[in-house]
Amino acid sequence: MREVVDPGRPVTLVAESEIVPSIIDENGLLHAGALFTMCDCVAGFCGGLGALPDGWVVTTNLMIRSEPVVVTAPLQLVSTVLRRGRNAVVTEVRARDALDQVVAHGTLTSAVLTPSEGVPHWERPAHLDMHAPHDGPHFDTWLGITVDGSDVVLELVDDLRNPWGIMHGGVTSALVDAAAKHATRLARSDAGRRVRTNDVALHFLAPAKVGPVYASGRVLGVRPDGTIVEVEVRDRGADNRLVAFAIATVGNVRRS
Amino acid sequence: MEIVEQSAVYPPEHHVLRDLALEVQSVGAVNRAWMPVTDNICNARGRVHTGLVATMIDAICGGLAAVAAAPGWIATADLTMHVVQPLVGDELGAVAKVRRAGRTTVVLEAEVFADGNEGDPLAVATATFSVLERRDANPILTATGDTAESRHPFVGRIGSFAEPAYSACGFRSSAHGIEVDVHEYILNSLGGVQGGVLACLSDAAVVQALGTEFETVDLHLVYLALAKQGPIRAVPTVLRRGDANGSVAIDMSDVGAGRRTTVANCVGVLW
Repeated sequence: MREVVDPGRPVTLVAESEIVPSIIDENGLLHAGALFTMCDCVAGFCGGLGALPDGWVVTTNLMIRSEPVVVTAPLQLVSTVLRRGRNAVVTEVRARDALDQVVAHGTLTSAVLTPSEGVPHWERPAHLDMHAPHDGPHFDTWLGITVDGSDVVLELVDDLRNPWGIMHGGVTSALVDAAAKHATRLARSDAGRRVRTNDVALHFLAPAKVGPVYASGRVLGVRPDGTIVEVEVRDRGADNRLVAFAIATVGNVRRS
Repeated sequence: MEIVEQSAVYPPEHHVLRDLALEVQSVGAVNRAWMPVTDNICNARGRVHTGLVATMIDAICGGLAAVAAAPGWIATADLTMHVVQPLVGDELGAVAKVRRAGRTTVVLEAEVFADGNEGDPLAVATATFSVLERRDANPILTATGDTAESRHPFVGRIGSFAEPAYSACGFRSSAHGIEVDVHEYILNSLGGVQGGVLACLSDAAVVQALGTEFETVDLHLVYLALAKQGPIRAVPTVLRRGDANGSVAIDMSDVGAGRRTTVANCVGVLW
C-alpha cells in the first residue's frame, strides 16, 4: 500500500495485490472474505491516515459489494477519505483488476480514538507492505475458521488481532462471509449449492477481545439474485457478548 | 413515541413525512410504523418504491435514535436496506430496535413487513445515527408510553400524496442523472434534504441507469454533509450489468454548494 499525495486532494491510498491460490474460492472466483478483508485493510488504513494527527481509528461500519466476476491479476484497490469529522472518518474503496473490471466497491466508517500509548507515527507519504505466501493454506483455513453445528467459529489468536489488541475488522468480515454461506447452504435443500457472498453491510458494536468468536447466520429470505442472511458475531469468552452484526447477500454461482 | 411540534419550523404543513401518512407505536425499546399503500407511492410495476420504504425506516429508526440520544439530537450517518420480497401489500409496516447506543452514535436494525405479517420480512435495514448537540429548532420527541393497541400519527396531522410521490418530491431527470431542488417539503429538522428522500433519489437514479424494468433491492447510503442549497444531483455509474441484475454507484452532490453530500452503492434486479 502506498499513499498518493496530491495537494488539495483528500488522503488517498493505492494498494496492489497478487491473486494467490489461497484467496480463490471453490467457484474459481476471488474469495469474498479475503476481498472484504483487503477492503477493510486499505480503507481502514486510509481512514487512519485521515485521522492523523488527532487520533487513530477503529472500524465501526463496513459496507462492501463484491462483484462475482473472474478476476485477472493484479488487483488494485484505491481508497480515498470522503469525510473527516470530529468523531469519525468515512472512506470509500474500489477494487479493480488488470482488465479494469470493478471487483469490489463500498465504504468504511471508522471512529476516531486516541490510543493510550499515543497516536502512531507514520512517515508520509505512508507505505506499507504485507506479503501473503503463494503456497499457504486457504484463507479461511489460515484464519482458523471451522464449522460448529449451525455456527462458524475461530479462536482469537494474536495473529488475528489489530494494533488495538482486538479482533481485526477484516477477520470479522471473513467470519461473517463464512457464516452467511454456511447458513445459506443449511437452509437450502440443495446443500451442495455453490454460493458466494456478494454484499455485506457490517456493523461493529463492541471489540472481540477473548474468543472463541462465533458467527451465526439466519436466512431472512430468498430473491432471484441470492439469499439474504442476517449474521450475529459473538465473543463467547466475554459472556457471549454481541460484537458485530451484518446483513449479507449470498449469491448463487452458476456452474460453468 | 411521537414528534411534539414545538414550533412552526418542523415539520411544515406540507411535508413528505405527513404525506406518507405514517402511524407509529413505541412499546418499550421497540418502535413500529405503518404506511398505507396507495398508487402514488408505487412504481410502474405496482410495487412500493424502495426509497419510500427506506424513508419509513429512516423515520422510525430516527425516532428511536433520538430518544436514545436525548438530550442530544441525531442525524442519519448511514442507512442500508436489503429487499427480500417484492414490496407489495395494502399496508407496509416496520419494526425497529436499537442494537447499540453509544456516546457518539446509535446503531439500529429494522425489518419491513406487509399486512401485519411481522416475522416474514419483505426487507431488512440497518442505520447509524450520529449524536449531535441539541439545537433550539430540533423537535422534541417524547416516549408516549404506548400500549399494543395505540397507533398514532408520527407527525400530528397526516396528509396524502396528490401525485406520484417522486413527482411530489420534485424529482426530475436530467442528462446527468436525477435532480431535485431543495425545498421545505423534503427537508429534515436540520435544514438539509431528509435522509430518506436521498434514498429515494438513489432509487430513482438506479432505475434511470438500469431501466424501469429493474427494481432497487440493495441500498447502502453514507451521508457526508447536509444537502442544503441545491439543486441536489444524483449521478449514477453502472459498475456491472448482468442479465438480471446490476450494480450502480451513485454520487450525490449539492450543486449550489459545490460539495458531495451522499454516496450510495446499490443493486437493481429484474424481479
